[in-house]
Amino acid sequence: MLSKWTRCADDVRIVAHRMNPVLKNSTSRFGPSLIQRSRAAGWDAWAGRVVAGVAAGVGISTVLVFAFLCLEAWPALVGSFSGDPSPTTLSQGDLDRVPADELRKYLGLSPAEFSTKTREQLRLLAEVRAETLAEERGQETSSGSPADWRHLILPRSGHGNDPAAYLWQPSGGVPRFNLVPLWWGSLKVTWIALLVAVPLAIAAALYVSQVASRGLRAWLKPIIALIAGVPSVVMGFVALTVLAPAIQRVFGTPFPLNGMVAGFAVGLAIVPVIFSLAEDALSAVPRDWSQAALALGATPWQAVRTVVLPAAAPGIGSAMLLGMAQALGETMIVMMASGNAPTLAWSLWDPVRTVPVTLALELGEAPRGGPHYRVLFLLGFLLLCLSVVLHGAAGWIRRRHAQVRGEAEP
Amino acid sequence: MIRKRIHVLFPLLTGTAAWGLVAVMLSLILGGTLAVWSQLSEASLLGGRGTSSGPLDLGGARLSALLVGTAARTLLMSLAVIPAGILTAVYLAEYAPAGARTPRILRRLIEVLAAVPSVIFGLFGLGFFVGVLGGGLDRWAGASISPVWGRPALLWASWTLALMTLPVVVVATEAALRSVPRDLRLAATALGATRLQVLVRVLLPHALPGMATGVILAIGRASGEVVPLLFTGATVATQGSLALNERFPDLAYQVFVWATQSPDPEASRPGLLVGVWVLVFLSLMLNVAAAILRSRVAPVDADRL
Repeated sequence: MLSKWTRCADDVRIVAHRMNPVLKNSTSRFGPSLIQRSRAAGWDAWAGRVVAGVAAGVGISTVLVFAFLCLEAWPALVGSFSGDPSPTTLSQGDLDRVPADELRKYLGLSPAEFSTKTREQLRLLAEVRAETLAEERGQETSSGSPADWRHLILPRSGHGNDPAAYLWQPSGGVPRFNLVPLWWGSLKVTWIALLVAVPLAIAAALYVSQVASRGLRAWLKPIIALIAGVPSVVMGFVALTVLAPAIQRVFGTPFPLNGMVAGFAVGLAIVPVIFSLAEDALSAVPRDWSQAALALGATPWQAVRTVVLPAAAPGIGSAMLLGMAQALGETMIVMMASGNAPTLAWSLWDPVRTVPVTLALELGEAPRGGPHYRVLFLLGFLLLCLSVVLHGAAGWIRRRHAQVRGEAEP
Repeated sequence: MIRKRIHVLFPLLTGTAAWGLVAVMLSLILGGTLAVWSQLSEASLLGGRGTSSGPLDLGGARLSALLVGTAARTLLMSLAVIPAGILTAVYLAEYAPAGARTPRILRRLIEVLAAVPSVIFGLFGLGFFVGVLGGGLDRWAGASISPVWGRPALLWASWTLALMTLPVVVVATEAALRSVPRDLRLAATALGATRLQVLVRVLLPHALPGMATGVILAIGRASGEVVPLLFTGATVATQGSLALNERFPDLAYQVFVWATQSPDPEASRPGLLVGVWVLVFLSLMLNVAAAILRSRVAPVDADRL
């Protein structure tokens, strides 16, 4: 009782000290003057408005990220993409009537190039352009736009006798935007990463939470968590210069950069995520439980297997989901270590290309508003949704688990 | 027998995993330092080769320019993210009506923002900041053929990074504000302080270390990040400038370029190694600082109360 009062007095002293200027102004004999009070209230109201305004701005910009991606991907998303309204073909006689600027755009020339061309050259260019336009129009009427859902998912036959194939060839004469090879690459890299990271992270978490002493734990946990702070470009560099040659020497693979190298490096990068969260979940299991199991004659492994792991399972599961989300979105490491070929091979030793890498490599070249740009935003939107769903599932498991155990959410 | 063997194997295997991870971290630091050291002893860094023009000249790129560029974009990012993040956290922790729907939605939105992969921020930065904001600005100002703001630039890159690191700052600051003892708040109110006075004189000073942790973590995450900058404004040391509407030299981007598309790998090797080393140590220092700050703060509070 006494200690509570002294503590309270202590707090008042601290606050009184910090608020010294306020006290000086306001403890007149009759309390703060009305003017002082109303001025303070005015400031208060303004502060409240500013704070709420900034918070609203932050909320709106978060919504904006989603809305913008969805908007940019919309034509591809609903499959109503018709490309740019393809320009009408200009005939010979039109060449002189059309304004110079429009003609330049129609021919796809830069102003500098345009100004150097003679009239004869322009006429030839216009002929070539008219031919390509006619060809493209023929393509489109026969099979629809390349960004149609049919072509995004199903295989499409090429010229002549080529068999139908799943192709991602954004910069061919006839662009192919099949999403299947990209998602297949993402799937391969993510699974390899999880296969590497999950056993490693959970074993390390078990050691730190169950075997190591308290003092050791205080050191080990932050050191392993530091791996998360290593920039991904550094991780990619290590994969490129250390991991890839080593793996090639040991396994004798045909390609130095392949899905396995990338998956391994990504796995290393997501270990700290899974480790930290799994360790938290394991440490949250009351020590008494495992002690009771040990007292009943269980070995440490039996205590862990029958008591600690089941109790921490939801936490570990949510950690794995978060690790998976991060592996799925990892860009830099994969870009540097995977070889970046969009193939649909079964072999893990082939180069792969994942969805985020495709975005990073090609967005700079895709003309704004064209089919390539729309399909890239569609990929980004799908990736975003998947990532948010994985995070949401992880959060849901964690919250539900906390409810079951009767803990309030922090 | 088998049971006994597992009894031995369990700590052994798990210990191998844990210590293996520690070894990975240490070898990254030591290996990097040794590699840089060997380059240094070849004296290529200190102007030993005839062609190099100064102490920080690395394969035609000046390390100082790269560092200044990275510092500039991190600073601009901090200028945007610190006020926005802290005020949002203040709203969530102090001003929002308890149990109302608005703060709950806002908190969910920030969780969602934390789930967005970094490449998506690049997409958004290019499409929205460069395309819509910058392009709109150009159209409004009636710019001629060449865009002034509607192109990848330092400002857009910094804002993209600010959006990416916002959740870190908000979450850390809100936790710090909530950890302020209730007694302090009550005592301040009892002394006649208004809400704003309580916030500025009592809550914020008390939450300062926690907020600093969040800001340091955000800077640590942003300083080595390349992906969102790929199409929002980073470039190599020989091209960038520090104008708000131009591309800027960036260390992490330069490392990426050196590592993957260098025309002469031998010439860029010293620069690459030094760049990697600087990046590792920068992130290491920032993360260790955040960890120390966090561990220093918590026990003191617990003791005093």
